[in-house]
Amino acid sequence: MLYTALSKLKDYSLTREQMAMMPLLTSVAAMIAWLLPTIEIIIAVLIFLPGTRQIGLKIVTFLMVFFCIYIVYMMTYYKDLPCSCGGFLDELSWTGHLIFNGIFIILGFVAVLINRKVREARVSKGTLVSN
Amino acid sequence: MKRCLFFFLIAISSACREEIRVPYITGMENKPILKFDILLPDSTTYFNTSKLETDKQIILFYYSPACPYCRAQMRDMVSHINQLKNVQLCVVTSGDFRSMKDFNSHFDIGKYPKIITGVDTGHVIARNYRVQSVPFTALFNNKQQLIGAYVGRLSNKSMREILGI
Repeated sequence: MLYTALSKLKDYSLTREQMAMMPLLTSVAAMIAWLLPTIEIIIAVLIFLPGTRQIGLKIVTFLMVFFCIYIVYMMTYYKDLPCSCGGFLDELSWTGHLIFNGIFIILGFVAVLINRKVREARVSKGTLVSN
Repeated sequence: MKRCLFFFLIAISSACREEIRVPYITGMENKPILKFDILLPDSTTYFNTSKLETDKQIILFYYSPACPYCRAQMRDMVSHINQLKNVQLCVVTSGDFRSMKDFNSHFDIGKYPKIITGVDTGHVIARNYRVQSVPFTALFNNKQQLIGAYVGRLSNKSMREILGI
C-alpha cells in the first residue's frame, strides 16, 4: 500500500492523467491524485502501529470492498478502462484486479479476526491494556 | 525502529524511477522533417509541414489519445508552454478524429494558437520514423534537421536540454 501510494505521488502528473481518464473521476482527478495516496499512506501507518492496527485493517478491508464495487460498476458500464496502479498491478486486467481484490478482502477479514484474537490473548495475559 | 526504517526504504526505493532518456534510432537522423499533411481540428483544413517556419526549432509530439504517459507529457508541455514559445510545437496523432478533439479539449489546446495539432491521416510519422510505441517525440533544429527522437515520456526539461534552450 505504501509502495503504490509513493509511486502515485512520485509521478503526480501521470497519476492525475490516469485518474482523468476514469469516466467517473475526470472532474476531480487533480484532487483524487493526491487524496488517494495520502489515504493509502495513513492506512499503511495505522496498520504498522500495533495500537491502531485493528482500525487500519478494518478501513483497508472496507476500502477494498468499496473498490471491488467500483470495478464491477466500471466493468459493467464502460469499455477500455485505463489502470493507474503501480508495479506489477499495472499489468493486471480488470478481471484480474477483481480476483486480486477479492483475495485481499478475504485476507483483510482474516487479518481483522486474527488481530482481534491476538489482542484478546494479550489482554488476558495482562501484556496489553484493553481499550 | 530498524524494521520501520527498512520498510520505508524498500517502499521509497521501489517507487522512485528516474526518467530514462535513450535516443531512438529512426534512420532519419539529421534529415529534414518529412513533408506531410495534418488534418486540423476544424476537420476540413490540412496543414502541410512544409509550411512550418524555416528558422525555428520543431518539436514533433506523436501521441495516442488513450495513453496516460502521452497525456502526462502533454500536461507537462502545456504547463511550461512559455518555455517553448520560440519552438514550433506539432502535436499529432494517428488516432480517430473525435479522440483528438477530446484530447485537445482536455488540455485546452485551442488556447494556444501556435500549437499545430491534428491527425496524421496518412500514418506518415509511424511509418517513416519507425514508431512502435508512444509517446514519440522528435526534435528538430532550426534547420529542420532531426537531432533526436525519443520513445517514452520526455520531460519538458529534457526537451529544452536537447534543443539547447
